[in-house]
Formats: sequence, structure tokens, C-alpha cells
Amino acid sequence: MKKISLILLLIGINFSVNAQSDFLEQKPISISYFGHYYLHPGLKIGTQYDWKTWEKRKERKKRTIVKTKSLFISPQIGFYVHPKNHAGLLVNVDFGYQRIKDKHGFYQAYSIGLGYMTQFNSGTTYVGESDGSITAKKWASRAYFMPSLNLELGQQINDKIGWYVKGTLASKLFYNTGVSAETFLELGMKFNLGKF
Amino acid sequence: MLGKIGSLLVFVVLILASCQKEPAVSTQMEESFYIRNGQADIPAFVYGNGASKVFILVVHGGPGGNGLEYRGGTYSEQLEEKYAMVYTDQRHQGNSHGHLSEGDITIDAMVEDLHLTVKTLKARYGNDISLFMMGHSWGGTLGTAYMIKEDYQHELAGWIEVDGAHDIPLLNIELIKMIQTIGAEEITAGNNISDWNEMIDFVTAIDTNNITSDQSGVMNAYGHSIEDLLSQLHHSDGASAGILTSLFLPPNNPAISSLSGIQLPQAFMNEVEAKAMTNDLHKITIPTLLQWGKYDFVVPPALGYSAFDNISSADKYLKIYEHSAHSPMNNEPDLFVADIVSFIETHK
Repeated sequence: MKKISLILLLIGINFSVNAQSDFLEQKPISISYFGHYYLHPGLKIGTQYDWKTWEKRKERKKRTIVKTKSLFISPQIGFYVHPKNHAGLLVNVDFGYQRIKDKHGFYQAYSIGLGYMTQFNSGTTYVGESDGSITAKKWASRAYFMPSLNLELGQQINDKIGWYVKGTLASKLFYNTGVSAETFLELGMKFNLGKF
Repeated sequence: MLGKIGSLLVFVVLILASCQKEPAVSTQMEESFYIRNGQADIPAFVYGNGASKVFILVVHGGPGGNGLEYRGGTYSEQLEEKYAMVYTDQRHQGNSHGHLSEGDITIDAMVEDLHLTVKTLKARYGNDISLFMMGHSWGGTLGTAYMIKEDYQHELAGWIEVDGAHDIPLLNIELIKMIQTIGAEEITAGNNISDWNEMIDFVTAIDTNNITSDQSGVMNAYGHSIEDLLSQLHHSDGASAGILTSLFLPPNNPAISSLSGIQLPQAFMNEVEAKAMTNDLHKITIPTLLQWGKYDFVVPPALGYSAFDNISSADKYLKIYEHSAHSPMNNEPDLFVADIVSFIETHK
């Protein structure tokens, strides 16, 4: 489990570092409200690296429709708080396909995510020790591998800024003896910092 | 860059969280903490009047329920006004989480969780608190298992069993009898004749020396559905917090809770199905209050009488509620609470 998280972290760091040189020119940074079960509030940031991009043109009578398609990789980090229950810290990489209409900049993206979620217990955790004593521990946590399915809709308003809505279905694996069901909603903005 | 921002976010969250002062004992407590027993992290939610120094540890039903299901409606409001209520989730249920194997899910492991919870409550709120345990339905099974293990019961001031199932094989046999007798009365009275005939036909065909878990499951479903057929029952606002609160608002998460409950291992469910503790009830010596609905078709009142007859406590009480079924806290909350208050004030 820890090896998997390390790999995910390295993938994320690798892309953010490799992309450093041209990040300010091309790669958008996203900042979003990150709602676990919609209402447990949080924040998520990320970036996107287009691995492969191609264009598709359709000729119509009066105009030509141009769609830009791409395969992308998007490393992200986010956290949320479920009050009096737990806080979650997520390191995640999405692998996806995006299709954008050039005329108005509307796009949709489908992706799968590989994530590593650390769940921090709210309040004190009282740990029963083998000698029968109890130790109080703040922010005790457990970590879970968390794959996800994502649907994102958005619009690139201009070459500097865009907005998006993203829904995620995910599952913590090896949660108790099985799996959990998680859902997330993101409402965010994307900024192409190099264009400002 | 992402790493730095992430670290900053974690730092901010930790700083904000560390501002909470714990424990915050008051007349209107509202706090949560966790108990970690091996690979299981078990949440405890405390609400109510902690200044009373009386704490009631709620052991939820199921298996597969959660503690906060019991917070809602008249009875919990009344009890929280007088005492502190501790709603916990059992391992692999509710909001409990961890990395567990099927072998970790046993009744004894849950008894040990309760034992650690009791010790934790005393460590957190002081050894001078008066601690009562209240188990409903399956919580009565688990609570009874706790009471008869070693000297654990002596950590408590009293045991409150509400429609609890200390002997599942006995429960099944008594349930068959109850469906046959009350079903016949209802048919004679002309009430819901086809429903009762169907149930009577089903239970009459059962070989009582060999009741399968499938048959037990069908009878359990009958037990719940019968509550809609009986005019004898009183109904008050129950433990339903409303759909929005149930789905989204803190601190419960019913979706995750339900999924955890559904995934309880079959080996554990088989262990529950075979659990019979009637012969060990004599080990219970602390003050005990038994509360039962007269029309409980999930855990028949015969089990209440069985518990009353076999428990050794000098101070034991059996209260049968004439207009209640499996959850007298919802059917007759005023009477239910009055009996608990009387019991606690006598034995705290």
C-alpha cells in the first residue's frame, strides 16, 4: 500500500517538476471547491499535462466545426473535512480523455483516477495498547488506496481562464474488509498563469 | 510546487483542528473522538448533559446499524437533557473504519471494543462518572456478551437491555409461537387476514429443530413488517432525522455506514445466528433494566422474561410496554424515558 502511494506521489511530483519549465506557458492550474458527499467542504488544486493532442474538423455548409481532443494526465492534491467525523487528504493522478469545441471553448473530459487517501480521525484517538493502557493520539490516521471515475464539464472562457464542474465516484479499497463508496463534487476555475 | 501547497494545506487544517479543546464537558456536550483497537478505528459521538456525570453508552442494533441512528426523536432529546449519551459504532459498521480481515470480525472482538470504550470514557471524563450501557436489539446480544465476560460488567453502574436478543435460537422458536398465537387472534378479529395467513403458513412449516438462516431472515423481515399491521401500537416521532440530515449533514454518513454493514462477513453472521447466552445470564449481577415492547415480533418479549428469570442481579426490573413493538423508545418515548431515569437515579 505504501509503495503504491509513493509511486503515485512520484508520478505527481515528476509531472509537476518536468512540466515546470513550460508550466507557466501552457499548463493550467486548477483550484476548486472539493466537496466530499457534496457538502463536506474542502479544497483541491491540480494541474494538467496534455500527453497527446489532435484536432478533428467537420465541414458543414456554413462553417467548419473544430474539436481539439487530447489524452491528459492530471496530478492533484486536495483535502476536505467531514465535521466531527474525519478529514481526508488526497493525492491523486487522473488519466483521461478531453474533447473541446474550439468555437465556444466548452469541453468534456472523462478520466480514471488513482489516488491515495489519508483519513484523519476527528478529535483525539484513544489507542488501546497491548499492556492494557490507553494512549491519546491527535490526528491518528489510516490510509487507503482510492481509484475513481470522473466526469468533467467546463469551458475555456479565453486563453487565460476557464471554469469546470467535476463529479467523481470513488472507492476506498481494503476499507474494513471490503470497499467504501465515496462521491465528490468539484466546482473550480482553471488559470493559465503564463497568459496573465 | 504542489507538494509545498499541499503541506501548507495540511498545516492549516491541523492548526485549525488543534484549536478544539477536549474534552469539553458541559450541559450541552457535542463532541466526537475515536477508539482504536488493533486495526479498527471506532468513532464515539457524545451529546447531552455531561455535567450530570452520568453517561449512557448506546450499543446499536443490526448487525450493520450505527450509533447515530439512535439520536433523534423525543426519547433521545429527553435523555440528552438529563444525561450524556455516547453513540458509538461497532467495528465494520457505521463510521468505523480500518484494515480488517474476516477473522477480526467476531462477537468477542466487539466485546473487547466495548471494554476499551468503557475504559476510554473513564480515562477521558474521569473515574467518578456513572456509566450505564444501553443495548437495543443486536446491541442487546453484544451487551450481554460484554456483561458475561470476566468482570467487565463491574465497570458499569447498570445495564439497560431494550428488546435485546441474548439467545437467537430461542428467539426464533418464540417468534414462531408469537406469530401463530397473535396471528390467530388478529385473524379472528378480521384484521389483515391474508397477511397473517401467509406468515402463519410459513412459520408452521418450519422444522423448529433445524431453523435455517434463510428462514430466520424471512421471520425477521416479517417481524418488522408486522409493525405496520398492528393497530395496538402507538407512534411518535421516531429516530428519523430527515432525508437531508441523514444523507449529508455531519457527523454521520449513512451511505458509507450502510455499505459497511452489508459487507459484514458471512462467518460473523453465522456466529450471531447461533449465539445463545441464556445459560450464562446468571453471571450478570449489576443492576439491570429490561425494556420490551409487548408486540415485538423481532425479539419477542419471551426473551425479556427469560433474561429477567436468569439474571442474578438483586436489582432487576422488567418493563413491558403495552403499545410498543421492537422500538419502545419510538412507540412510547415518555414512559420509556421515565423508566430509564428512575433506574439511573436509583443506581447511579
